[in-house]
Amino acid sequence: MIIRAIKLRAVTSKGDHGFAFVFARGLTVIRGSNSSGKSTLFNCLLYGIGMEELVGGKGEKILPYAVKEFFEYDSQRIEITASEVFVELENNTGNIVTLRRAIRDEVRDTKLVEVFAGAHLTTEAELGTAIPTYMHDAGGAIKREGYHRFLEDFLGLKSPQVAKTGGGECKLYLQTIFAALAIEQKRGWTDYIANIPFYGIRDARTQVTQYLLGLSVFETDILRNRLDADAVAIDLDWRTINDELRREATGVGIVVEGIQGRPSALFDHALVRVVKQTESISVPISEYITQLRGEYTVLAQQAEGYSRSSGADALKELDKVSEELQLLSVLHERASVSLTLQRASLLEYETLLKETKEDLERNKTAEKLQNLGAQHAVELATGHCPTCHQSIDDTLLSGMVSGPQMDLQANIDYLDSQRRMLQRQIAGMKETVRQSETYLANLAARVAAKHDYRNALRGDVSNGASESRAIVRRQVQIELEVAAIEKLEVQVSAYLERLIDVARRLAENQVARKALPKNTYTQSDLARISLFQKMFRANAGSFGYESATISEIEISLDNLTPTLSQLELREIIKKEPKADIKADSSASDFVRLIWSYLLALYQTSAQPSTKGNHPGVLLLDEPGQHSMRSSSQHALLQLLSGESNLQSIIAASFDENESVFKEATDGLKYELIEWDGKLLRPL
Amino acid sequence: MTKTKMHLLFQRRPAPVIAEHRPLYKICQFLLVLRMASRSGKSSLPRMHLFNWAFKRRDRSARIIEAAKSKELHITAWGFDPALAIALKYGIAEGLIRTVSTGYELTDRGIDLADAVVKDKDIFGSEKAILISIGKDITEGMVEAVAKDWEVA
Repeated sequence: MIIRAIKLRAVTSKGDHGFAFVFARGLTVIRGSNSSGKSTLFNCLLYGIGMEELVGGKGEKILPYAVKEFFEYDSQRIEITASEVFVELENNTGNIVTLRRAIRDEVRDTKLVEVFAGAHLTTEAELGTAIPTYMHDAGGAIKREGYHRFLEDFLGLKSPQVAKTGGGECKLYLQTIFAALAIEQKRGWTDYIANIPFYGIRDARTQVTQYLLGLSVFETDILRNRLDADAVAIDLDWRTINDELRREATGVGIVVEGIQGRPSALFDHALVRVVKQTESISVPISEYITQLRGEYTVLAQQAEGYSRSSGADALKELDKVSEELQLLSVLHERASVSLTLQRASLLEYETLLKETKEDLERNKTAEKLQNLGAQHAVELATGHCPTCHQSIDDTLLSGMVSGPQMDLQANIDYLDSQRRMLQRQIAGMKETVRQSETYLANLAARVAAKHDYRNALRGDVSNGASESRAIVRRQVQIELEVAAIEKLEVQVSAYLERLIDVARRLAENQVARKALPKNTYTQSDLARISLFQKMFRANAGSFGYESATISEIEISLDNLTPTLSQLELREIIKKEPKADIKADSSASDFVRLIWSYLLALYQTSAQPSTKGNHPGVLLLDEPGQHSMRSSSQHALLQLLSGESNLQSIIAASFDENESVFKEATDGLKYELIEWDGKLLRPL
Repeated sequence: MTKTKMHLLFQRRPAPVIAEHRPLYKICQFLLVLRMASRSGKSSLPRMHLFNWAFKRRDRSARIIEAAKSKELHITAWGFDPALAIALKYGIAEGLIRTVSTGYELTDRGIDLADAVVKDKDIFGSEKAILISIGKDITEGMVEAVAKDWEVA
């Protein structure tokens, strides 16, 4: 990507004002003293290419009033009625477009970026018809008419899908990638790629680095993310099917055994048993149906002989049935009492679990406070008395309690094991309650049926009918029950089919997970990272980094930032103040690391053997920051101008000192942009 | 019957400590009370004991939130916890709070730590919720009015 030129046009009552500059294909230096409008130019450029979020805002808000309200020229205050910015871009296939975006306009929204084909600024080509594109609306990176989608296509970038912190995935938005290409001066030099706008992308900085270096991690990451989401869905499906099946079965007093509460790839439907549970034994339903049919036949025979049998037989049967009914009622009573007890203790366990969780939460707070306290130099955080500095017990009531006390970590572990124990207990209890409920429902149905039968028998005895209503009633009951169970059998096999399918999906998921590479990085990724490290060290050396031994700095594989013995290298705050402010402060040493990092990203990506995705442009606003040695600035500019395919635009004040500027740019090939007085002038 | 000698060995295991008895926990809890629910970071001792008592149970917290809303304290007595007194002593020794004529006051260091605790969203969730709904509406005057009935006539 090459930024060819920029133009700002402000319409005023005194005619058009503004500025227009052409950038070199290599190094361009924008020189200007403080408050001369250097950053205005820089931010207008970012705004013009739709990257103003890097400055920390959306839309024209990030621009100073001088380009949208009024400015002073020839000691006159000139009001702006409308203003717009043009930027000319070229992609790596030589295609040129001109972008136009309004800053202040009655008609055009600042979310609109008009794209014109051709080089309008450098060749005066006609503007022609615009393709309107929009930004900052949902879908701006995905929809065809979205500006960032256009820019991505134009630059030939293909930004990958990445995981979000809150689950789900999104694109690695172009703005996050540009945060490693354009560094504004306020917050930009506080960290490696400091200005990534917030989109909830997980480890955004690492992802941007991985993308620019062209590492192959994205496919794996996304695949892993999908597998995780699938696993959750599989678990849920299994539970839903299992619950439905149990509910259906309970309805007809049948129990399904051999299905675990959680999905397992080893699920074997042959091990599932569908049984009828009576007092102590459980019989498979096929056998149970046979039993019912047998009883039915016996009843039919009885019905035939009924008219011949005496009332004594009926009375005998009535006695027998009454006794059975009593037994069933007692069982029902007992089962319902035990269910109530089980439910009560389940509730108790749940309360205990809730309390344990709250306790655990409090202990974690205490643990965090220890860290926080240590940061604020509170002596108690390290277990020492603030007055006498002796070590003390970590409890307020040490004088009142005898015996040893748990320390915080032991306490947390203890509560955690309690929590796990309670959770297991609750899971077991829930299963027991569910079994009891089934059993109870089963008993209730049988009590009701027996009750009906007995009443019918009583009727038979008292009115001496020639046909037994009791027998008929029992026969009807059997017919209904058999029909219901047979229907259930069909349903069960349908449910089992679904469970088999879920188990198959789980097995596939597990196989796919096994096939994922064990390490985050492949061999070629590691080669790239090691090249990146080499480049980084070389750069840091030429910039004169001296807070640590450069050969000991490593690029961490965890987050791809420079580290020294596992610690991320950041600003090192030294206690003793240096006598000479011009001499190196450690803050500027950290800035050197940021330079090295940004440049190494490009260098690694530009290597033909390890081609990455860097668009080949670097925009740096005031990279010198506070009083950087001019030799270091020189080294930076030299390296930048030496990169033949890198366009770099550097805005700097060079400490408002001619000799610093001379020293920093000595013998280099660059294009200089500077102006006298104010940036905005008649066009 | 033969007599065998039995030896029982007891090994004392450390006992768990409730989190609010950890010195830093209690101190920070009251840095929060002073920062979030007390005028100019000052509070009397009985008033702090009232908060301490209210933090311990949900129904008590509900009662002082109610009191803060109605501007009238209908709680006739509350517990005084030695743990709080010890925590305050530690807090003074650490230079996080200091005694003033009316009770206790946050020092600049105390304010810094309190702000760090306020900023961390993961800690003291329930306490912060209670303190936010109370605001600074439990005044010294309300506490004073109840406490003066305690004195022996």
